Amino acid sequence: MSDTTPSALSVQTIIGLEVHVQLATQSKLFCGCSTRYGQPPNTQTCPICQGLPGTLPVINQHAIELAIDVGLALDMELVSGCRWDRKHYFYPDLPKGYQTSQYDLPITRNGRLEFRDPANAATLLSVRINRAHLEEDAGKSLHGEGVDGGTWIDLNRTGTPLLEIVTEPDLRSAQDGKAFLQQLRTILLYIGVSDCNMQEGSMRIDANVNLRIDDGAQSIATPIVEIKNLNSFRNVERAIEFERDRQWQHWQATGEKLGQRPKQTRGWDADREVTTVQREKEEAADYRYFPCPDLPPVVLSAEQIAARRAKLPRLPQQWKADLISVWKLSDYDASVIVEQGRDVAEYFETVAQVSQDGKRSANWLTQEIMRLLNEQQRPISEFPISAQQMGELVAAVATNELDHARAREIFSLWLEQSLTLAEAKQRLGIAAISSDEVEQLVAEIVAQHQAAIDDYRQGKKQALGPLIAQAKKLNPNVSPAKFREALLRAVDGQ
Amino acid sequence: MSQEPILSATDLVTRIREGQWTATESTPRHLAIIAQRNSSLNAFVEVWRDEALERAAQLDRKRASGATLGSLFGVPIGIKSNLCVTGHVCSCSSKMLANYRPTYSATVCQRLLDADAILLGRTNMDEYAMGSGTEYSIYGPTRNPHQEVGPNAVSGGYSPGGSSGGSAAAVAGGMVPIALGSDTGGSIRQPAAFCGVYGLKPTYGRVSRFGLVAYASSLDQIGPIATTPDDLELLFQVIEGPDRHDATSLSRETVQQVETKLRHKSVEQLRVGIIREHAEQDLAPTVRRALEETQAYLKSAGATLVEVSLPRQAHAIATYYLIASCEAASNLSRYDGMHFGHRANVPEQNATLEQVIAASRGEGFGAEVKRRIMLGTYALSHGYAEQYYQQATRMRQAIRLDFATAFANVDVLLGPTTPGPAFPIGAHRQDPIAMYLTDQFTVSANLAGLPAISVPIELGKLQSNESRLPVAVQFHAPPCGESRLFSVAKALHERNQTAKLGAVA
Ligand SMILES: [Zn+2]
Repeated sequence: MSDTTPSALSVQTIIGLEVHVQLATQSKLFCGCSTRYGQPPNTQTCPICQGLPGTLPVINQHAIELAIDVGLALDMELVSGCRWDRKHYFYPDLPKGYQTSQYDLPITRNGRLEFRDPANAATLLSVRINRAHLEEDAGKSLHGEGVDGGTWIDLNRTGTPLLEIVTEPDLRSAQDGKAFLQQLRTILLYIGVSDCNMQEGSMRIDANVNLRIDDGAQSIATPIVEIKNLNSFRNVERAIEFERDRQWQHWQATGEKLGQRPKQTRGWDADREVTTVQREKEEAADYRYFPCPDLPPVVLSAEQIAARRAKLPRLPQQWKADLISVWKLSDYDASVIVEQGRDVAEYFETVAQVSQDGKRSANWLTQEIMRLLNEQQRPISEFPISAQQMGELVAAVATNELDHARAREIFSLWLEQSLTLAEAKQRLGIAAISSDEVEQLVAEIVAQHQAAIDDYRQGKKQALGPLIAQAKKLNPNVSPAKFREALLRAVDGQ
Repeated sequence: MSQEPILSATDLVTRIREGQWTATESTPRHLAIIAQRNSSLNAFVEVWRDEALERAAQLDRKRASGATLGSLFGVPIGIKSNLCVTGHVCSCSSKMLANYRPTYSATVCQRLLDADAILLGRTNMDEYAMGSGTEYSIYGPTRNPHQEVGPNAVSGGYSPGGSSGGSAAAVAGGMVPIALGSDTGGSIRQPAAFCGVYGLKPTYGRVSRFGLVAYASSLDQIGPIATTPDDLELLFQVIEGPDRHDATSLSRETVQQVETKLRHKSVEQLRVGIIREHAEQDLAPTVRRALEETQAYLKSAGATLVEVSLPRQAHAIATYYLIASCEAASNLSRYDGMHFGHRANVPEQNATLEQVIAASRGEGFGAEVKRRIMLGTYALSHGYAEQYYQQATRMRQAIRLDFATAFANVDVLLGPTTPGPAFPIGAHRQDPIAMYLTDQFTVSANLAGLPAISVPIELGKLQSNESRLPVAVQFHAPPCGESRLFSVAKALHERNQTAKLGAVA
């Protein structure tokens, strides 16, 4: 883009995001059906979510509680007396002919979220959150899978609770958008309101994008485009970048400004890496929102909010601060651990508590464990070594009971077999070694390697290195540090 | 037994409980009356004969076993065609749902079964409860069991009113002692008035709407129709009460709190408000006489009569039709021919989704339903919602306030149920507005969520040119004031019995 930008022009990408998050409730928003993913079509439905005549919705209180949690985590205002509205449109996967949502009184609004500037890790960026509202999901159309290539409908997803989080247009680049989403996802995972599983559609994103072009004299905005239904952070990033370039070229060709053209809805074609027109807002449906007469407004009592606040899990920012202050981790290590998610942070905390050595615990976690999990693409919940065991191992190293090499042997063994530390030590022949045994070993080595000792005495300090390795070979249980100490005493004392 | 008169539900339960009758004896009697009269009245659109007889036998066995008997033990009952009963067609008298069988039962139907009632069949209604004559029905019109004789007689017969005309005609025709209707703007009270029986529209939220096919959700209430106030109360007691399937149903605590505040009063302690705006309307002579005779009776019984004003009454009909149509347009969105109900036979390869949906709705809905869907869609559309829907919502609040102000000073309100007696079938077919106006006194109770009752009034001596068709008055009470309505109705019922004997001037 820069090559076609005259130096006098400044061009900013203006981005606002709408994030649809599936809430982690056991049952649907308005009926008792399960929300479990991947079940055979239409097996998780009932008269209510099938939209049968005469049925009525009853609100799932757990969904309200999770929405409150998000409001608290994103520093938002909670709206008692928030309403339900019906959004009307005809589509076969919407059995009632309307979606029950929240239009002008969402459950929570006016928040903000801070995240690290991807261009400068030392800076924090802040995005205002306009609102987060509850709504029910629609069903799924299985196109071309019916008889004669027709469409089949699966209503398992119908009525699943969604929270739509809407930002102000405060983001300025595709990378910022991605970083914001990562931070949002981390927070949502920490407070446990959603599994944020993008493959299963638990987190879907719409991006509103336009350009602000400033030539010094005046500022021009290009028409806003909404890119719908992005299902990965990478797609969000690519789609925004594509749209930025497309709008720049379009503006150069046509000079079209905001207001001269209705808002356009586009989709992201991930194979061709382009956005394509879905519809212009002119031909868009009039949703005829109106308050749902079947559902009373949701009253949020001060007690209910206080109870949720008391139960709210620690937020990632707080975790990070705690890792730095309690376990003396570097800002970098703390960030790496926290960004892995709450399971990893909790794992770390247990290891550190058992071992009482934060730095060593962090090293084991980030260097050994995370490497393995990344290789195998597995979550820490499936890691074979428990945090308690890991803590005992780190403690043994911290107290010099084990050296690092022997600890790694135990670690490797534990990956294969479930053993206690004592059992593992026995299996590997690891035993405590007395100071007499160390002295004996020193005597043996000194006797066999007189030449090396002479070199050392003549100033070649590094000549002792191979001797330590040799001792380790003779008796793997010997601590290199203790042996070195004893050897120096013997050599220097002569 | 076949010589015995038809009994009220209350008497029937007593006889069967005491062993004088059995359900197996009494049920066929009602089936026989239906068989005899339904071809002319068209009150029932489906009779569940075998199921009813089987259930009667089952109930008799239950009684023999010494089990506790429900409060409607052995009573046959008619169900309006917009209430779901598992496995039975629930058509709402619409082509759209002509073959639709729900997979669940409405809370009220379940409560009837739990009270040991016998569901005898489903009754005719206006399509989706939209109408005031039980004429807009795929089953054809229902006839009012009451006929004019002499110079006022019409050949086609009279309308039973609507939309619960089938239930009112079934009760008035002696087919069943009690029936369920639904009332969105007068659909229980107006047919009860036209058919000379009692009808109650309960406080919004006292009866669960779960399983009632929605017309206008914020106005709809299910209620009883009966030949006596005792039966009306009996049926109401069975169906009312909180339901976890209906978020708008009132909790037991709320109802009790309000009931406690509304101290019980006998008729002589009552302050009765006479609604000036209703009395000032153009009323048929017999309706005006019913109103006057009721006032005279209440006064003689010691009640205090006070004139009260409901200043926004003139706007009630417009407000009602806007709100009801908006909600109807939304509620009826689900009939798209995709998941249930009528689907147009459009070759799919040649049609867009919109065309299939439009054709299904075009064929499935009748003219009155389409009229209200279009009105509601227009009134909710972008740029018009403020002018119509929002405005109507504000007027509804004002009407509610009018009632609250009136009830600060009186215990119940008295007015006519309808401007005149039943109209001949087909009289309003060309003029929907004239038909809408028959609801002008009933819609306010729905807008304000209040309980209201229609009480038939036996007039004293009629002039030879006066109509013989039944007339009624209506009482409104504050929210949860149903018991006040029952006690006024009971007093008037006694008066009616005397009037029948010619003792009232
Ligand atoms: Zn369900």
